[in-house]
Amino acid sequence: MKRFILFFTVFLLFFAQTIAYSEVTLPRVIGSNMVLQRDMQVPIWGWASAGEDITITLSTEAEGVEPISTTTVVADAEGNWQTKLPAMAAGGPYTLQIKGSNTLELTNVLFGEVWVCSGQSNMQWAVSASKDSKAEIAAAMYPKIRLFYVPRVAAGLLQQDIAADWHETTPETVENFSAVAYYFGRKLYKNLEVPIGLINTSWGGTRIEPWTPPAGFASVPALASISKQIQEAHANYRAQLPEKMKEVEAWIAETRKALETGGRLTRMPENRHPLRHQGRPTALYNGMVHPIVPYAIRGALWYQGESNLRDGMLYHEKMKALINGWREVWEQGNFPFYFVQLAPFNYGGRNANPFFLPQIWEAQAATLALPNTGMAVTTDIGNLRDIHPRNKQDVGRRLALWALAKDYGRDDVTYSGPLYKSMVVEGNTIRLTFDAIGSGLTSRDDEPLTWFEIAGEDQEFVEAQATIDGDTVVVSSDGIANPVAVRFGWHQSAEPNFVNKEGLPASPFRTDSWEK
Amino acid sequence: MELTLLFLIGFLPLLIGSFAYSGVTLPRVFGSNMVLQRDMQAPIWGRASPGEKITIALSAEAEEVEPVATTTAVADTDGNWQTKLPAMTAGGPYTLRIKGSNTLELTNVLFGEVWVCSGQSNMEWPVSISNDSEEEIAAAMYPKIRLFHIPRVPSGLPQQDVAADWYETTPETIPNFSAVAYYFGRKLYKNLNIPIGLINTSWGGTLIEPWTPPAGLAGVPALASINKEVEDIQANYRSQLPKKIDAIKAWLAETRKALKTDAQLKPMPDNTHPLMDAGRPTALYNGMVHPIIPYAIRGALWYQGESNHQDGMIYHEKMKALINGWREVWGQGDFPFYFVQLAPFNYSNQEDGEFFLPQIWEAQTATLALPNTGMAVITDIGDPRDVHPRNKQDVGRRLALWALAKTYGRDDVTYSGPLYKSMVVEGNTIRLTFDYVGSGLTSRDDEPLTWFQIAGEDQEFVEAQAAIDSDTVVVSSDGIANPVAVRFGWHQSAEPNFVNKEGLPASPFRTDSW
Repeated sequence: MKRFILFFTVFLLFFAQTIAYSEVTLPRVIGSNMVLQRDMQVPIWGWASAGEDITITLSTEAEGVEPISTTTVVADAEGNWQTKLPAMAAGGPYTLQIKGSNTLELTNVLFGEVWVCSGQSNMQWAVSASKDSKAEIAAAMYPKIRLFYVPRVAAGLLQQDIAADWHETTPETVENFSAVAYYFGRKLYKNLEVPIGLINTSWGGTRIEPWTPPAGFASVPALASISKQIQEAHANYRAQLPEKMKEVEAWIAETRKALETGGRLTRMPENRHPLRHQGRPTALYNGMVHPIVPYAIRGALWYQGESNLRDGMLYHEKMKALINGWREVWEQGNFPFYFVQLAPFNYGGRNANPFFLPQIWEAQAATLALPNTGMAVTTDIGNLRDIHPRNKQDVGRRLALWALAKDYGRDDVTYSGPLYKSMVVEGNTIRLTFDAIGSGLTSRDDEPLTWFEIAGEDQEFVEAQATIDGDTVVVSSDGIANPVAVRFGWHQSAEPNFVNKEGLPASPFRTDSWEK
Repeated sequence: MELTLLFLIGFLPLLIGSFAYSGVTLPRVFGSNMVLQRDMQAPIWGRASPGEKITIALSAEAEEVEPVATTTAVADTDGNWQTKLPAMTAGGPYTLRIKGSNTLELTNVLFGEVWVCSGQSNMEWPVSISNDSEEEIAAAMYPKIRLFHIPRVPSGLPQQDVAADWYETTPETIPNFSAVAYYFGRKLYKNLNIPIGLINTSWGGTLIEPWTPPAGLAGVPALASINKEVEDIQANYRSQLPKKIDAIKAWLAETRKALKTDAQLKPMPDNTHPLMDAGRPTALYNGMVHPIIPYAIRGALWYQGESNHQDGMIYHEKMKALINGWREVWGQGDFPFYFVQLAPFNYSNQEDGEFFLPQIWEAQTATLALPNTGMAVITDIGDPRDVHPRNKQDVGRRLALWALAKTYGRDDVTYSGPLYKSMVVEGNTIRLTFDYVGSGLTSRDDEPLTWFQIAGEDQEFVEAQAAIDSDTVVVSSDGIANPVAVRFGWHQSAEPNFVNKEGLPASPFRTDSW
């Protein structure tokens, strides 16, 4: 209840600000305790009176020293302004002063590595509900890891701001924060020893479509129908506005009268946009991502797909739309985008088909074809009876391995488990080759490799023997004289033991593309 | 997703209706297929242009017959009008024509008995997931039982209308309707043989406070802090409005410009009322009850308390506020208000947590002191592992017993299980007397009476033997020489066997107030 009031108050302030342009204001993602992306000219933006001169100075926290940098900008006719700070190396704390007719002072500002962390419940899943929560919370004293937790907002129209603040990581602030994001950030921090900023924008039970900007859908022909649906919703909203505005005017007249006479108030006419729901395409992009664009970031993490379980390969198209879309709106080029492959789980009810999940795995793996993407495989650290596996430490760590290797030049790091590359039929066996074999292939429990299947022309898969032979795996079955295809881990409850020597599991795959 | 859209579409005409005063309009609780309360001058109201004359004619459905009754009203300067129909006996179908500059025609209107059914999930719980749902749905052909299901709407300000319609009971309309309400209404229908109107306004997981009107909170001194909170929030909302209106006007100007230039649209400034949340006091009264007031009703049913189960005796104060409040705003006097005592359920394994529920039972029982109230005890038809017991047939039936006996004059009906009345210490025993012994006290499973406890001055309760001695129960324990107090069914998972011979279970109670 109290939280709601707080939220409401925050909203009042926020709207009061955006409408009354008399003073310089900033979006809340630009605030005290923030981490700005190092080594990059970072955009700073906000609102002011039209034509107002704004001076932005960055200084060390000590008094009486010359500013490190000074930037000026003039608000445009709409009262919008944007500029960039010069690139800075990691460090801080700094004070950022934004001066127009009034002066805003942001303190305890750091430069470091900023990551956006998004998805559904497994990304949102809090440290407090994950493994070893008590010990992890007690130990969470990382004043240089900063947390920004975007609240849940579904919006039909682009939102300019969100009600959140940057916080240092303490036992109090980390409790409700995303465990995957935190463990990822902590791993980076320990390895890089630079400030880390984590922006958590996630919402349990949500599909991928709401997180995708219109530009993303527009870039993927397979999703043309969604693009059309969005355009129609906006057109309809626009078409009904004149009528709605008349109602609002009538309400204003009525309310003014009621305020004068002490009469009864009536509710303002609703002006709900048809896309304003967390299930509708673009709604969470509008409400929970757009307000932080173009805040400079190093990259993004993504852990989602459970709610798109039955999408099959279309999920790959949707990931393309999301990734392309975010990259387009952020205007930072092909920034790193690392995602978590879903964990095995016994889906039931209308999701009971045990091959829905393997097809999502396949769609996720296919997305690695996009530049600067990476995938953390988690087939060995899930829980078949719990769609929210509690071990988030290893999920965060595996995402961090990708970042360390690909973005931070740690060439020595093995960051992926084996990924299927090619096959050759050799008599009654099939020989498989892999990428990301690390320092060699092995079985994580020293038992024979599990969850390999093989089939001949009849497309009937049977359990297979699989043996590691150097950097390849040789698969066969007594019953199959002329094998044609192999499947590995091709079942929602598969928890195979095939890993590389660094302990990173192989992604499930199939060599065929048969219907069944 | 679809539901949201549907909901949205449902609201559009409603909002347009309330702002465009060009013709006579009615709140949707007045609609074709409705049941109007018989034997009472039923209010009818709506909106029109200021000063518009409205003529309301009630006619039999046959064409070209003289109206049975004609009433007129004139819309006031705000466009509101209200009048009353003459009292009618049960029957129908009628057509109701409301004529101003336009004419509305409501068909298939009946007169009968109207009940408002409210509460949280156990009231909302639909027929489709209750006992014997398949057979019950298939058999639900009751064209004279009419259903009005109010959608979930929290609101900070009293709403004038709801997006719902009246339906005849059919296998299509019944599956999502409240099972308790339906089984109650069906029992009445079978006994009274007249049309029944059921208004279902319920929402799972809700507290009692949101259902209570400000007048109710104001009338109960123990709830002064809640009352003040509501008053303060309303005052704050009012005082920020001028500024908000300025912001909205700025948005109107900006949007007008954007519509001309095809520029990007901005969202309308948020004007969410702080009480517009299903958890806030008065929010569901405003959104889901106020819009149907003062629609004439016979009485109300209430099945709620799970979300308040840690309230203890303050829940009694809250029930008072709810009942007084509804009675005040409805302006129909002390109409019948029958409620369900919560079923046993293992809410809590925390220390002493198992006594939260008995205290709610006690608070509910205490509410019987209010005039024209009744309580259906269901300790025998719950499920300690399921907060939503599936047997709603008997819950509805037991509520209907109160109505039949107290509201419809069926003097022969036993409508309550035994209620503790008094105790006398007799040596090392305590003798208890009861109201509502019916045709006698008994054990429903022929086993010795269970869940009686007894204590001496040390306030340590021990299991007790309890024996029926005609219309009394004698309680004792070997270990207690000087008993002082008795408790019965005083545990969240208690499913005692003590009933009257009509099979209605005794309400849990304690003779102490330790």
